[in-house]
Amino acid sequence: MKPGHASPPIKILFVCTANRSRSPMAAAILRRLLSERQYDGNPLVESAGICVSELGHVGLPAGTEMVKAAARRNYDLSAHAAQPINPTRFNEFALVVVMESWQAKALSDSFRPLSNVVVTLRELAGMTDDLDMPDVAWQPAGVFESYLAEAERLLATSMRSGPLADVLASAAANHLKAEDTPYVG
Amino acid sequence: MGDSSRFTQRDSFAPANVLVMCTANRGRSPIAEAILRRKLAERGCAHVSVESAGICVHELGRTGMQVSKLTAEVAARHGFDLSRHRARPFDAKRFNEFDLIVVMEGWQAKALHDVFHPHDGKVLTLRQLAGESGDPDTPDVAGVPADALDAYFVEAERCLDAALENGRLAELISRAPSRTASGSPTEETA
Repeated sequence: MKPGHASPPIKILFVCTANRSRSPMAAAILRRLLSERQYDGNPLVESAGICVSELGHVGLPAGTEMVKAAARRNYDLSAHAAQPINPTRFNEFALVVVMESWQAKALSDSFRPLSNVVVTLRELAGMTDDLDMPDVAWQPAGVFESYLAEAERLLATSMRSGPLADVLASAAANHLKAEDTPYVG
Repeated sequence: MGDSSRFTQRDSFAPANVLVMCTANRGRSPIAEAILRRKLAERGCAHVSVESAGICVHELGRTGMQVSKLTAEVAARHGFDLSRHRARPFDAKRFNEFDLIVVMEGWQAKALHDVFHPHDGKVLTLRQLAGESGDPDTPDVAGVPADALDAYFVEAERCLDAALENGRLAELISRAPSRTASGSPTEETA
């Protein structure tokens, strides 16, 4: 790495099945939590789905009920377009947060040796039993609101300790290192 | 006539398309596809087509990949040649072409149900298709040792044998064709 050039930004990926509700919502929540820190060294946050291509959902908007529940909490998912995980970019993410254990297993089985931390959202927050956040597709509106509230709580907890806190700490360290290095032309 | 196989008069039955599906289309589904193909051939069911696909193939970067060396070896020991298999993602546009989709785990069935809203009995796990009670999921065989692959072959054989006798698959392969004007099956002409 050349002096004065920042290392590539640290990236976090949220994954669910179709990338239409749970993962874009979690990404939006974490982006807001990070922006509230008013800090330049924040990691980039993306989301993708593990069955998007096969289910024919590439480019589809976020689920209507998820968009509505998000709007009530001042999150804007209106511009979201569902995208599949890009396997050639999987290693770019320091932390991959999935919704259900089968997703973690499929990713861990396929991308061996794993260069990233792959955990479920509940695991990320230190939970040890029932690690799965159930799918919200076709559920009543209240389920979307409950999901949003739980995801907000879990991510706020995760900022303080565990894999997310570790990633934030290394992002901060990278950022400081880049700032401290004088530019040599 | 009628004393030998139920399926010797193959024109008497409506064509049926079966899809077997797992996560990456490199272990469970190509194996079950090969077993089912053979069992159908043994019963003279030329009117039933069988394919396999995976529900995460594209995202896991598995498109076009072969089965693992170990899977191919174990399959060969069981008398199946999987050397020409290449992993294929499920194609959502083809959902309606299939009369029956056999998945391996409940989450795969749920993902298909949420998107395609199929009629009851179109999407079933392998164990559900066999009428087995209890855990509906057949565990993944990715990266497992040979004895676990052997166990999967035993399970798939058991489930498919049961499914060919009773339930949705048995019904499907003995349906009368709907196209006949008289409503009676077309007789095979010698």
